[in-house]
Amino acid sequence: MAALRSREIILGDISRALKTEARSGSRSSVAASFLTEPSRVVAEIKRRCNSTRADLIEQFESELVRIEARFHHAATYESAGEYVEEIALQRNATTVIASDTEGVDAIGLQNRLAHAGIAYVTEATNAEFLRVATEAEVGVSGVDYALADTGTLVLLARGGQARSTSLLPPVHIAIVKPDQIVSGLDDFFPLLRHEHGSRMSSAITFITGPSRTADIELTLVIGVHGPQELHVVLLTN
Amino acid sequence: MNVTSESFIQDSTAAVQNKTLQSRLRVLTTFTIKRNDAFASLEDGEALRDQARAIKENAIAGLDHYLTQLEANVVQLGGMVRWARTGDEACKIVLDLARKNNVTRVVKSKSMVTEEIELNEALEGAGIESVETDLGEYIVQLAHEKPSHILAPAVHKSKEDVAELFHERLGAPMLKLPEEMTAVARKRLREKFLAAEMGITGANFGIAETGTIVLIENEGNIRLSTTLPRIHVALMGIEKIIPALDDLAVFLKILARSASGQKMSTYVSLITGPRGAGEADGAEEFHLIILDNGRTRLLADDEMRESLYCLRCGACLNVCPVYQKVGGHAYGTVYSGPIGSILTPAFAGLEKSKDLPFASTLCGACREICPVRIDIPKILLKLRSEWSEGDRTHRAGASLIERLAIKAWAFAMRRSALYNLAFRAATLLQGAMLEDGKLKRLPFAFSGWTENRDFPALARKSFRSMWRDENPMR
Repeated sequence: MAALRSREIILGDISRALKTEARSGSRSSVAASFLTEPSRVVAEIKRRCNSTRADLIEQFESELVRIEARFHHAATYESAGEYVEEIALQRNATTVIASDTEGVDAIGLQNRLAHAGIAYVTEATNAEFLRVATEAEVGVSGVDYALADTGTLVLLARGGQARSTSLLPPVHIAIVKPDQIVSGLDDFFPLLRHEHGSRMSSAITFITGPSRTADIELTLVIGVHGPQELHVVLLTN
Repeated sequence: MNVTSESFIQDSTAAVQNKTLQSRLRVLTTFTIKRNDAFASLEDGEALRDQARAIKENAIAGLDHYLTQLEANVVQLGGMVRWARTGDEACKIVLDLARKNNVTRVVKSKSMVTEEIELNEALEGAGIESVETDLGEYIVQLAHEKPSHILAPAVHKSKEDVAELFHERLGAPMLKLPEEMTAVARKRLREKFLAAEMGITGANFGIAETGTIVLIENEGNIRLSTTLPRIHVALMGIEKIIPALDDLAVFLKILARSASGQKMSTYVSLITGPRGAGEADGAEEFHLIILDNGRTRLLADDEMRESLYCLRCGACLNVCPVYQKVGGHAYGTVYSGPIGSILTPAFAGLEKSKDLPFASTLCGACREICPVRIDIPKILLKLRSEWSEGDRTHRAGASLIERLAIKAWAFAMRRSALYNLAFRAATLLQGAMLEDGKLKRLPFAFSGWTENRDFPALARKSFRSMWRDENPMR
């Protein structure tokens, strides 16, 4: 009850301070889905991004390199798979965890890694996914959007795309498709509203480079709590 | 809020004489250089700052509306919302939650508001382990100190200090490199993340329209705190609200640039309620605590209200000639630097922090760099005047003779013949007092003016007479 009283008192203090009518009693209406963006606006964003795709990719790559991420063009699914395997072998990985998303499934890691004697674990294949994730050396995820002007990956949490995959292992490899790249935040928010506006994902994560700190003498150290390495594999087909 | 700002004069004097601290504080200029570079990469950074300010003005003007909208949305998503008028009330809410859920281990991410309410102390007092997980905060916690900078809490420590601390407190060997020390902290804290039942964070923004809490960081400790423990508690000051999702684009463009000179912080998390159906991770319970603790006092004051627009980027600390010399600890409060000299009097009382509004040269560098253009010097002047009005004996107050002299000055300024005469008389009279062409010791009631600085000598020839000579036509 004390908590309830505090609410009314704070809202009353605010109304008095703002010299507005007390509104503390009324609850604002909640939109079932937050505003969706007019498709005209979205179509224009997509048209612009499509016509400047090559430039966006170039900018995306140079930003990624600037923030200590590694960028890899994969001409085929095969070469994307090879790249992931190479990194897993370099890290002497015993376990690779991955999202159950279309882009990741496409590169056929399961068989490839099995041949190399590396366990490949997804939410679908293992009920103990989270426990395995704490020990995996490599996490492979897709992305939902990528922002060219800052080299940012945007991931929406959902079943099959756990937050841990891009967070717990020391190496994160993100598989990006060219049409996921938009120019920046101003494109991203309208698209998010249009494509996911019916319900916000419980966690939308923007990732810009590997984890870092400068808390000791302002010396930049890459790899604190999150991944020490971030690889972005761009599928070109 | 426990502050030791009463001893600002002694503490800042000691800080200025502390050679180690002075060498650490020299790195602050790096922040400003990086900040300026980062803003240069924006097409129109100045317009963005205006936009950001306009959004904050609107958000604060409709604060009650937006807060209830945020609340309704969080509740609809399955989260819980509590309101706390004071720091003690907020701590009690967290403690009750912890007890109810048998929580014994908490991981915390860096949050100014939890420092403000001293949540760690409250949790530890109740026998609950509360571990700071931001590297800088972790260092400061191990050393039983307080953060000395909003963004870089351990900026006052050298790497040798940290090596020694990790050696003493964690049994690590004496390390040389920041990389090695970071690795020790990663390993130690990862265990804490995996064991904790509750993760506590602040909130950089609360989006009313969607019921979303926005968390910004570089290390990944906030992501871990919101992903692994079963319960996530976010504490948010009432002023952190923004109306709409798209408003975030503006703030994301200027906040990291202002704080650390990055175009974008490494991680930005938009947390909207507890984990959804079918998700493998993320907190199962989401609690939002909305805190007043003195903020409505700032809101009620038309001139001080804009201090609620503060994004806590720390840019004003880095450019402040006073902060640059005395560091954060001398302020005796978690909110140091120019903005802290406004917030601390509001949260802890002016009587406990009377020196802080005077700890400024009023040079305006803070106003210049503030991403939302808060007129900090103006508010500091108002606080000074409040203090002087309230207490005539305060040493900053003008003496009777000074006040008479200023009245006489004002009288003469309005009468040009009289002013010219007085000026000529003063030019002649000052001769005896000049040392190296400067007035180093003013007499009697004016001695305070030259106690810490020289007064420039009056020019032999006034600007007015120079102007007359140069422009004979007039």
